[in-house]
Amino acid sequence: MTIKEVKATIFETECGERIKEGMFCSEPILSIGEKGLIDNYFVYGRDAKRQHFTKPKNCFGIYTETKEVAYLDRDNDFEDKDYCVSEEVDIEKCFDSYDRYAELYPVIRDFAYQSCGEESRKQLKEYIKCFREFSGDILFAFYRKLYPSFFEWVDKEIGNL
Amino acid sequence: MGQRYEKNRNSVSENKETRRRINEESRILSEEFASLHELSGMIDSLDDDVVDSVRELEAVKEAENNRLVSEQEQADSEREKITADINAEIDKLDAGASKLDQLRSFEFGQKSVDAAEKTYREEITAFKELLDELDDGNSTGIAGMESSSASTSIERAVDNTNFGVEYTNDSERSFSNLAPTRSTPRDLPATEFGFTDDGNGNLTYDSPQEMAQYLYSSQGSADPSYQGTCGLCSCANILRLSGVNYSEGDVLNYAKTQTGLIEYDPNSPDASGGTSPQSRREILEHFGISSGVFPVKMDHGIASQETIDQIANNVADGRGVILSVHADYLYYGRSMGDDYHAVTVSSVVKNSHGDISGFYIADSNIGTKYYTAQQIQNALTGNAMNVTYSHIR
Repeated sequence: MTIKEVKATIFETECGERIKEGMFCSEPILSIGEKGLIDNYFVYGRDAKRQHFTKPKNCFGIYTETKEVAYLDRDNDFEDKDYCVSEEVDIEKCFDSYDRYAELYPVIRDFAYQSCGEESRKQLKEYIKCFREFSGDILFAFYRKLYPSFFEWVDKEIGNL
Repeated sequence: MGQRYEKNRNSVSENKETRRRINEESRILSEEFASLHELSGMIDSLDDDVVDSVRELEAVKEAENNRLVSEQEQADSEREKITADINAEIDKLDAGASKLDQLRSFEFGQKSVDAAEKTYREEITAFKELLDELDDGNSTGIAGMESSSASTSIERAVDNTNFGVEYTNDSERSFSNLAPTRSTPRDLPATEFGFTDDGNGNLTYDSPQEMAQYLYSSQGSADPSYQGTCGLCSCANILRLSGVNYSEGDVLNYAKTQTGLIEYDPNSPDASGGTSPQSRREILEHFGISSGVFPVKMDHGIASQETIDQIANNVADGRGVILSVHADYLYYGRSMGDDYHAVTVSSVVKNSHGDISGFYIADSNIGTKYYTAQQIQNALTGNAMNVTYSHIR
């Protein structure tokens, strides 16, 4: 499945009601649930320059293949404050990284949580590199803390990030 | 019958009464000055004093006659205006009735459409009866005065049974009714606007560039603590398109009083003010516009052609439409698919073959701008759209 197809599924479930216009939604991060792969998301707020972020809000998960809600409104223990970075963001570089990430997404999805061969490891490494580049340090830290199982698998396959 | 019918009925009654009064005063004037006519005929044989008196009386008669003629002209002019208003109502009802078929498969069932069509036809009949009533008044009035062109309009109204989308030339458009000066939102039986031909075969609904001055181009002006107000500005835009001048502040102040209607984060103005399609529906309802939340059908992660057609049809029908888009597609031509932004569709553009070329989008970040249908198709997030049930313009 492409990243667009996966994200479009959000609005075919109750989870779509958690996304309000004026807010932002994270990338889907895979975890393994009782019924298979779960795409995990969180809603957040940020400024136009991508320098100020809210803590993750409205965490939800979807069994995308079956369009079932895995969980909704899960709490997290991030502090309620303004998370900010001072560095200016190069938006064009972010777009480039995202485009490559989007190309790799269906490939990674196919072998997530499996042992990687050499080619898969190379793809996973590039996927994570791009993911980190367009996400920025703050969001990337949110992802790692909220979805440890995915990043443990990544670390195991390609070494610590 | 609605307020417009009542208004027109009152106008017809008042006009008929005015014309009856003028006719009566004219009759009395003729009777009172009948003998003056005889005296005028033998004026050469009368004494100078009597001649002076006759001249004075003639002057009084002429002044009275001029007054009645002036009032008669005013009444005729008023009757023409009433006739035009009633014809316009009939045109709109006809247009609404003929377009009901488009709705049969959309938000209404067959039964509702049949009921609506029956109502439309009854209202058309009632308006035509008003025209007949007004026409009856033609026999009254001052003798010798020409009757107005009301009969031409009446014939047109009776003959007019199928009024479709109207295509106009630029020179025929009037922008005087774009300003939001009404006290209540418009709730029309059918759209008042048609498509304007730009001379190159492109047809644009309504007047998006002229209307843009009344729509938001910079959100977050109402309260520095609420900067994520694209959905609230879109609600204000819909209200302004419907003719009422509500502001972002008016909408925000209401939303603040309602639990869960908008996002609020004391640490982030940018994350405060966010709305969902459901909350926008509630806000519009509060301000007098009934709307629905309709799914955006996606095909492999991109909005379907069916969705684009639905948006275009709704806009062309004079309904208010709010979309959820990834704004980066509109600003940069590419997106990371993480942003969710509400925008108002202010117009649709079709080519000479009737295909949808694109849309004018009123964006509370950058103002009104034209985008191709493909750009909008790519930008749609998949979140539902708000569509007003009423024809607001």
